[in-house]
Amino acid sequence: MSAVTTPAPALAPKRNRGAVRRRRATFGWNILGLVIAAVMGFPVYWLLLTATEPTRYLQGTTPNFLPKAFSFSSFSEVIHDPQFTQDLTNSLIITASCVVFSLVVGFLAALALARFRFKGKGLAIIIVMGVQMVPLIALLFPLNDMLAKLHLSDSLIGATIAYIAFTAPFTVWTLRTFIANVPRELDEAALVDGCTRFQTFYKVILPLTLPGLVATGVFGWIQAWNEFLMANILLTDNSKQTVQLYLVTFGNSPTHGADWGGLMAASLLVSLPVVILFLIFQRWMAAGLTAGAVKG
Amino acid sequence: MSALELGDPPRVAAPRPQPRRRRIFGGAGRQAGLTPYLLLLPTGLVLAAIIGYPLVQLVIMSLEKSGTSSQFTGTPFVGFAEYGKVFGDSVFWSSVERTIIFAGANVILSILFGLGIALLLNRVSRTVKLIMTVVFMFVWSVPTTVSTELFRWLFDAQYGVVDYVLSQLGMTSYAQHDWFADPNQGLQVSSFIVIWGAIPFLAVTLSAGLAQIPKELLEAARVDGASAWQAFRSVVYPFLKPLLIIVTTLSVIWDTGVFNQIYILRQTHPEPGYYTLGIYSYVKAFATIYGSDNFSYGAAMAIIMVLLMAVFMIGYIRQLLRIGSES
Repeated sequence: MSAVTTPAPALAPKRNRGAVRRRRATFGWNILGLVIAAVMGFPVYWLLLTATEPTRYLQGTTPNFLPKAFSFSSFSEVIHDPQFTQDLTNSLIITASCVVFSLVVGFLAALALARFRFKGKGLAIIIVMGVQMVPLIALLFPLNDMLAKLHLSDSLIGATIAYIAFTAPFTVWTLRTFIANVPRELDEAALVDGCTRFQTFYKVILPLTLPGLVATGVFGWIQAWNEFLMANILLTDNSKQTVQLYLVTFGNSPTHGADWGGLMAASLLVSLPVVILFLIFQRWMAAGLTAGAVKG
Repeated sequence: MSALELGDPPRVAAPRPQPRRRRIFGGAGRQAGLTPYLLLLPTGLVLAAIIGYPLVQLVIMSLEKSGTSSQFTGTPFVGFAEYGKVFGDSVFWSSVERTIIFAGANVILSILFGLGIALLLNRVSRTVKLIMTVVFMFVWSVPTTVSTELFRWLFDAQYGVVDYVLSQLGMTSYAQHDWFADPNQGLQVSSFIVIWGAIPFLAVTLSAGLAQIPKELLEAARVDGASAWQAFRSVVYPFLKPLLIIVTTLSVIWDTGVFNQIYILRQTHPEPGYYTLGIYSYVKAFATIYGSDNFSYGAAMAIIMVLLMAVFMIGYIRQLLRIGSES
């Protein structure tokens, strides 16, 4: 450290010397931190820049590092594509249905796991955690077969069912934590005051876990919205695709060959609903992950 | 809590002395005894139908010979023949090797960067910390489909900014360089995407863990003349260890299952040089264009994958339950 290499003035009091050294070190750390932020943030900046630049700038020999002119053309290209609006609707339907279903069903199970003592509880917990870790690829083979037998191939219902396979388990698990955080004393007080068991649930536990329900729902929303691997197999019909499939198809289609502006505009539009939700609920995201929700 | 049985005996806290207090819902009485089971029933049925049943089917599939032609030939029972084929397949073994190297490198690098940045986050000024956190939140929230398309653009051979910057820095051979011609280099780009996407979660989580370490302990270490490394080794690390185990295991699970960052990077047609276990089984089972539509083979491979992952997952569940029972 600097104290060893540079001889400090002998007269300076010890404490001061330490403070100076620490301030100098903090300055160095700050610079390093800013460099890391710049490197990490650059791809996101590049996405925004590419999406908002007039496309003629994107194919020059030297890229523009600063915005020169703003153009909405890449966005309007995507927004006015009927396929995009169709896929957006499909994504909204699938995502909303599987989140709502998982929340309703999962809340009941979470209540059982958080508030009751019963035989087989340990087993139930292990099952709920264990199924979260089954790779989606492994489930996809037989699910695809099963949905075909039920005549649900290429249908929004089929995709919703498949998505519930990964939203339901972590919904149960995260909600369990939120319910367990509501003090039991409140339940007792309600019972003493003459509430029935159902009223206790309805008037005490439900309102107090509402933020948890919202946070878990948002988490599930993000997972389902971002899903690609299953949709790519289960939804092959053009009219049934999700926005993720739209994005990847856009990136692969020869007609959009080097339309990087359009691809980045589509990327931005596809990620916007989750980025906004994520930024609002970011506090819960880390908590949810470390509390045992596995799907990243 | 039943979790107690799973933890290591010495580290587990004694069960809380609560049995005398009346259970609100789960009291004596027959009806109360049934309630939890009724509450669990819907989830149980759903999980059995869309996870349990398919898993059983997966095992059956792996023991039969099936593919697109099976609608004409039926699906004869072939026992472990498909497994035998998998184990005799050199592409399978090279995929296993690639998966281990790819996931291993990603886990190690992302944990190292994540931990380093977490330590840094707790040293920088408040403003810099805020700037870093805001950037991380944006990066974290980007879906992997989008980040993959974005990096495909950054590393584009014709107009990509990475090639431009490298050639400006004097590495002229990188002008118009095609990163994906050599699969090993292409997989490095995949690694960039994976690590870039993982750092925010790791750094923010580990930094929160670091903030829990009592300041007095670090102060005491400094007073005792411990070097920065010694302080890290004997104060910070022991405190952080449980959390580190969790995030490392999560990283192993995620990085072994990396799919989009390879499959989409290669525009949904990954060359054999890009096959990881996940990609290979997916391609084998579904991609008819490869002329290898073979569910049984994919199923057998998927089961091998599940079994390999199970080792990590059991460790992960144990660690989670142990922490849960301590707090």
